[in-house]
Amino acid sequence: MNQKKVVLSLLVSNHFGVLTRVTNLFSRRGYNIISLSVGETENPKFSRITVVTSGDEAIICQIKRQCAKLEDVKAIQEVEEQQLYMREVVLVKVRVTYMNEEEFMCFVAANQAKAYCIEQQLYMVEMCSSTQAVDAFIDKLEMFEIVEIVRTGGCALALSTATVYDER
Amino acid sequence: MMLNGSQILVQALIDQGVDTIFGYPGGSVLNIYNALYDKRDELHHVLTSHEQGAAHAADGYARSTGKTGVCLATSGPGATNLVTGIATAYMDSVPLVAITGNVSNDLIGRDSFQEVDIAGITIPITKHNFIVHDVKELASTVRLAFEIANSDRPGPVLIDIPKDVTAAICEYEKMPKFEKRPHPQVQEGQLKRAIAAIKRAKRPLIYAGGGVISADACRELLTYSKQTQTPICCSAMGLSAVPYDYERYLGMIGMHGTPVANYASLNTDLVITVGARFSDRVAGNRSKFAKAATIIHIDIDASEISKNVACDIALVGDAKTVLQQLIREVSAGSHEEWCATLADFRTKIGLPRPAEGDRVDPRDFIFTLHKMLGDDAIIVTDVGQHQMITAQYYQFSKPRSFISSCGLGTMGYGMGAAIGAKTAHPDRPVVLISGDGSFHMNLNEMACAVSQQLPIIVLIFNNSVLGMVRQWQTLFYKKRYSETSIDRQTDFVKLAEAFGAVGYRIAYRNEIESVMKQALTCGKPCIIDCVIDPDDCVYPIIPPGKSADDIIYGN
Repeated sequence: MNQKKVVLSLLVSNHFGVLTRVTNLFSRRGYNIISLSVGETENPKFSRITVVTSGDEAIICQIKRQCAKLEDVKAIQEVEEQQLYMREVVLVKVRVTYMNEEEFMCFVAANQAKAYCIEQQLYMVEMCSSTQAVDAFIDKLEMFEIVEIVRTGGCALALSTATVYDER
Repeated sequence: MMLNGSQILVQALIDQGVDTIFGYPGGSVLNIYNALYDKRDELHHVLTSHEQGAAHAADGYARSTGKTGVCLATSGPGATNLVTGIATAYMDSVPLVAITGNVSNDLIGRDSFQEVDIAGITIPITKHNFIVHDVKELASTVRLAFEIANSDRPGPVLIDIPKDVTAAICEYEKMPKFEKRPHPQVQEGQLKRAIAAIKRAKRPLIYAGGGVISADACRELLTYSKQTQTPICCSAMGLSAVPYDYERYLGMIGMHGTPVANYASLNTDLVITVGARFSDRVAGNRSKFAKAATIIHIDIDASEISKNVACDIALVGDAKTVLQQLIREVSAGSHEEWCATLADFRTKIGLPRPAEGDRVDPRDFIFTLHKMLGDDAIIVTDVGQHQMITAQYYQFSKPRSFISSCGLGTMGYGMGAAIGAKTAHPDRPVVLISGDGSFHMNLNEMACAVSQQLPIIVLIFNNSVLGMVRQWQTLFYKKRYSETSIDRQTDFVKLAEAFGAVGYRIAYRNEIESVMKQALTCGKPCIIDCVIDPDDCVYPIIPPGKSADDIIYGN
């Protein structure tokens, strides 16, 4: 069966343990989590979890239905690819040399990233973009010395009038 | 009215319609037991020997009545001892509310004495669970727990209450009894497609599961079957939904199902699944199950649709309502030829006949049991060969008269479950059919049966081996009997007497009736130790992962 990658946006109750319930469901039923992010919404009663997952159509359908059964999950929206607006953030500590410092600054600017000097030749680089762009950015950054990397899961909304509230 | 948390809990349970709970006291629930002491006339507490027994008893109570089973345990080991019982209820969709005490809020997370994160532990085996950190939320949480446990597809809910919450004072306002959430409504388009498929079908088959019983839809199922001449087979969970003597009832389907039910699944062109989930014990090979047939799936749980076997038409809704809709919409049908084919097959290949001779064949015993007990009895089982033989041969006629751990397959389930069933139905005979392996697991609950004066009959089919596992070793592991010849030296008659119960022994067929008569009239819990052949195997069997094509009849 054809594997596809989907982005699910879950509206959930905003209290402790909810993320555990959702991730527990994925692990115990053997569903894949490619990335995950969570944060509060405009209404402090709710949080929003963005899960990127993959599977064939039957599995994706199961994931949605199993998630929907959780008491704390209030609504699930599959953000269709054509309407997908997804962003993730990467922070990278980079050490540069006197030789390539200027090249580094140009590279950062060309990629719409930001760089802050921590101390001599050690920079904090910040970049926010689509998953693919972040991947590509990290690949290219390897020409400099990467000290450490941290990146978030993606958060996504539909580039349309559709909202998660339509699914309630 | 100002009450402390424990009084609130007890009153909230009473207000939710609870009159019986099963439990075991301990440090973190001392306050709760103190409050129970005042209300012991309104809320009957059954003290089991072990918390696992309490969980199974609440489960047996729930299965035999349709009400919510409630169990109560202390923190730490008390709570973890409930786990097997909660998982058992979860797998079989039994409405259960499990209440655990926990250490006080200020001790949580410090690895305090008898502290365990029972909410974390039970996430995968409950519909939902709660930790009540604030006494103000206690009463509403109790009500919500009952609502969740009973709405849609039933299941267990756990409420964990830190000890300080059980002492904290708060205003209590009586809450109305919970109401079930509205059922999902079947999609009109799917219903039309279902009706069209039913009209087209030449060889329809109903595959009914436990959902029919929990939706109280047994009568509708029978009406539909009669109206449309559709034969019915059941999963193990569905047993007792259809009276055994109904002419179009084919018996159990699946691994140890009847030859005719499995034959029907191979030849049907339309499977109407009602409240069943195509488990691996029914559809061993998911892609081959009823391959040639259109599959209509009626279930209240949308996530069951195409979970195991891909279905063509999904009717997500309450089984009773959906069947009523179908009864209205589908005109009387006739499938004489199909029914005749099945009837003919059944006369040629049936379940194995009981062995001849002086020795007891459990199949024969089970026929006799039904003859002696009548239709009113509640039959509880443990797990193994005795369970499957009971499922195959016992002639059930009333819904909720077969109580068995079908999904989780919990050995040791029966003793607790029988206590629960007998507590709920003191006037009906309750017989636990067990094996020497299963019974050894939780025989401590005999002590509870005796002190609660519950005259349960425990019938042990004693073959000195772990029969079902041994059977698999016979069939699939070249008779390498690793650790299945348990050969305990337990004297069950003396054991019964030691507990204050009555013990009997049956070695020969001709003793069955007289011993059963004594057991039924002795008015005490009793154990019947019935010696059977260790080499006896349950047939037919569809090997795991295989389809009905690969059935081994064994006779």
